[in-house]
Amino acid sequence: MRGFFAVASREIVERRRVFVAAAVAALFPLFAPLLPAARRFGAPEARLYTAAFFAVAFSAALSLILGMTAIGRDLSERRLGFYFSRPIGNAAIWAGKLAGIGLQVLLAALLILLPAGLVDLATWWRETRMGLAAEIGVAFVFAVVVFLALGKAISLALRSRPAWVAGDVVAFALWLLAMGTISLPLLVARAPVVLQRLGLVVAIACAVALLAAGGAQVSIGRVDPVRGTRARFAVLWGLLFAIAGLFAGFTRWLLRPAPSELSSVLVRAAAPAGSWIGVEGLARGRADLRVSLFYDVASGGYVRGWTGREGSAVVSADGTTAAWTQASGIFSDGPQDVWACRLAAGAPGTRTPISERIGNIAISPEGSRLAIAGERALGIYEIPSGRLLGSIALDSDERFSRFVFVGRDRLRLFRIPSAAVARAGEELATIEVSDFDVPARRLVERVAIPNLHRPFSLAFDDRDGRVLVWEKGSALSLFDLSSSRFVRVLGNFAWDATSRAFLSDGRIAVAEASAGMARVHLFSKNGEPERVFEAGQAGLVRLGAEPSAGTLAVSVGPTPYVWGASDSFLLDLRDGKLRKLGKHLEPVAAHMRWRLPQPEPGSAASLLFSRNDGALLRFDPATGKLVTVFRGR
Amino acid sequence: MNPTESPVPAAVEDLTVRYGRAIACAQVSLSVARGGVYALLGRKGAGKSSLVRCLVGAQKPDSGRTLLFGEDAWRHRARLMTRVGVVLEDPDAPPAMTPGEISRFCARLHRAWDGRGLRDRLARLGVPLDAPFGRLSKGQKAQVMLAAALGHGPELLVLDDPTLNLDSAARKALFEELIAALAGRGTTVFITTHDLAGIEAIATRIGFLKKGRLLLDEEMETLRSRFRRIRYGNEITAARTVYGTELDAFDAVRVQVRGWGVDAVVSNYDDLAFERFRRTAGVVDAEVSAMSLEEIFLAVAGEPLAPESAARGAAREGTP
Repeated sequence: MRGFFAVASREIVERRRVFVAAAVAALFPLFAPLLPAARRFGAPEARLYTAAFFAVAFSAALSLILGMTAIGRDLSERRLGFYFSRPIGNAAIWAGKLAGIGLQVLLAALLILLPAGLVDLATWWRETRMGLAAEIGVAFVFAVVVFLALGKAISLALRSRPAWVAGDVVAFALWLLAMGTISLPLLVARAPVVLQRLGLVVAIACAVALLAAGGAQVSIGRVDPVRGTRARFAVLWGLLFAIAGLFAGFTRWLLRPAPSELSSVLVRAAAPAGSWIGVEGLARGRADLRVSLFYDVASGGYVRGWTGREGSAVVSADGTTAAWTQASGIFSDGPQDVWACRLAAGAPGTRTPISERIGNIAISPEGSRLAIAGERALGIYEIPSGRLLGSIALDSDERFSRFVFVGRDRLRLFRIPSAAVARAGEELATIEVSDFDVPARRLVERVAIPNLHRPFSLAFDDRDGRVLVWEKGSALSLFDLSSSRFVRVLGNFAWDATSRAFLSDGRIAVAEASAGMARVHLFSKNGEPERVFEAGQAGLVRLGAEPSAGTLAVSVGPTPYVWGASDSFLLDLRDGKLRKLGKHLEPVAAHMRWRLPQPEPGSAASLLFSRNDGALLRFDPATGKLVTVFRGR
Repeated sequence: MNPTESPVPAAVEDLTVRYGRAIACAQVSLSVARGGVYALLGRKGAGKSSLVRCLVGAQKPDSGRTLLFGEDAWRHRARLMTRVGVVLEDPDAPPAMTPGEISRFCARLHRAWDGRGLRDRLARLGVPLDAPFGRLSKGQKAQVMLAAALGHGPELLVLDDPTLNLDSAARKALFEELIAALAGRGTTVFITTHDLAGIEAIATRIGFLKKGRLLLDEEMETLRSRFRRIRYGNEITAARTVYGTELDAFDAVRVQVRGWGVDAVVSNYDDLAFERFRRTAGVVDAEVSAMSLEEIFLAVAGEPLAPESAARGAAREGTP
């Protein structure tokens, strides 16, 4: 240890003028309150934060300079022979130099902080308790380690032989390529907390690797520059590629959580029949990174899906095939790749050749075709080959489009052209419905529903070709798309307080909460009123799907718009009995009405409920109990 | 090694050092006896500094090993340096460090540090104690490093060409200082140098290194006694039928036929053999002379030790 302390103290003594510079720098924060930019803060805060900034900035600059001169120059100009001729251990030479520099930087930083701290001791104490000291500490450590390593790297690059510099450049390019490839899925996932933490860890690990490489250069090479450079190269790139390997392993772990690790899930897609769902959620130990699975609720089998929040996901109606989109690169407005997988086979997803800027996707009922709305056209592709089967030009000013396969060879489009007929004080719109014949590559206009008062909302029954149109301040109307006719007005309901569902037998259910009371109206297939069920006092009522034919999931909450406070019930449509399932539960189908075709009774989508803590629960019709599928927060 | 024997202060075993394809040392073996002064001679680039760096554990050999007091120098360098004083080829103390600071730095590393002795020695030589090392002259730097190497009373002193780039006065001062330092201590010395005149007076054993190969490794006295220059004339007589065999009794290292006769360097001289040689028919005016270290080196290595030596040698021999 004598050697270590001798080297460390020598480093400090040799550059003692640094403390003079630090003392001068320490005076500037005292004048910070005079700066116009600091006037919005109190004078003590201005002094303190300026001193903190100066301390960290001074440490960074000093580390960079010392990394270049104290360590790098000693190594490259073979000045270490003096130390190797003395009874000082190899590690003590390198560690002593580093410790001396580190201590010098620390003392200089404290010297800068000292005057402002003494002048404003009370503020200093208060801010320290609020975490200022920890923040400065983290910034300080980061600045010292990274800039010291950076200075050393620059110094070595400038002083090494061209062959080694070329070797370093090639290795650096390969390493960057590897790190870029490994981190791309994380960048695409847009998880800032995970990225920030990983970036910090990787930066510090790389800096440590660089310093360790310097240590190896000293210990192994000693005064032999060739051997030292060789050791430095081997250790540096060995460690950096080891870091890349660890990073790859950790990234793989991040992106591949087991279903049991998922929490706070959202159901993004569900098969109308069968037991497969596509879920996205947080996973244990992965901060804000959202990962996804296609999960078989019945068997527990799963296939990994996309990462992040972006993109679309669909599951075919027969539950055999899933498709999803995933950004190709790190830019959110860039092209997206389309992935597909056969769920039943349990095989991992494969990337199709399709890559473009995608608005939405739909999958055919048996999972062999995919409709993709791009920027200018809607294309129908064969999956997984990606072969284009047909395309439809999209108007750039279309305000809304919905498209859904109503058979393997038929794609139904709902378009609302923006050129609406205007009446005094009203804005009118027309819904145009057309079918695209895939084999014939021909668009067949089916029906138009004109003169709808904006705003309005829609509910679709793709199985029987019906649409419920609900105009604000007006009626809830049923249209039959197969016969292109208006069927009937179901009634007038309060805006934003109703929920609609097409039942498996074709009947229609409409739920409303008005005057503090919840009701479920049951209509025949043709829209004729059949029965009204009272659901008690409520400010919000939503309809889910049918866990079994004739039983409807209903959520009832005390306050409009506050879904998390709702409780779930099962409504027996035969006798009107309500059975409470649980508190703070919502049927998943109620959330997914827009994306999800009406689930069939007994399908996973009809049995799932989400709790306000993020848990996903499955209703077991056999036992009548709820089973946790994914845990909550 | 016999455990009852104390290990030699320094030994090199089958040492090979390469720099890429170039070989600096090729299977060199030598040892330095306790209390002796081993002088390793060789031209610049012969591999002396590589050998010294390996010897003091500052450089790892490609094969072979170096031992200090019986221990591997590479593995136990730090501990061994308490018993060894080293002056490497380029005086390499940190430029901002003054001799006084060097002394204080070393004092922290050695239990027995003669700071006063160092200051006195440097003062005697006119080296300022408070001037940064980087501003000292080359001679002053060498003196400082030598003083620092001697400060802890080392059992072994390793000096790599300490007189390189020094003028003759500085060289003389350094050797005098070295002799003075050794006089009362019995310190073992391993030195590489070009300065044959300076080392000749103090070396007890000599090694010749040429292009990484150890051509010769011998006690100084033996070397002096067995190398001789023999000059003689060759006469044609009626009884003489064979020429060129008169030197067969000697190992002739170099034979040059000149206008006045033959000039030969032999490496196994003895007086009886010379008497027989002198009586050989046709050999006339035979005379023998002792050789300087420089002449021996020239004869063995086939080249002068330094360019100026070559010029001096050429002038002496009267060759064009």
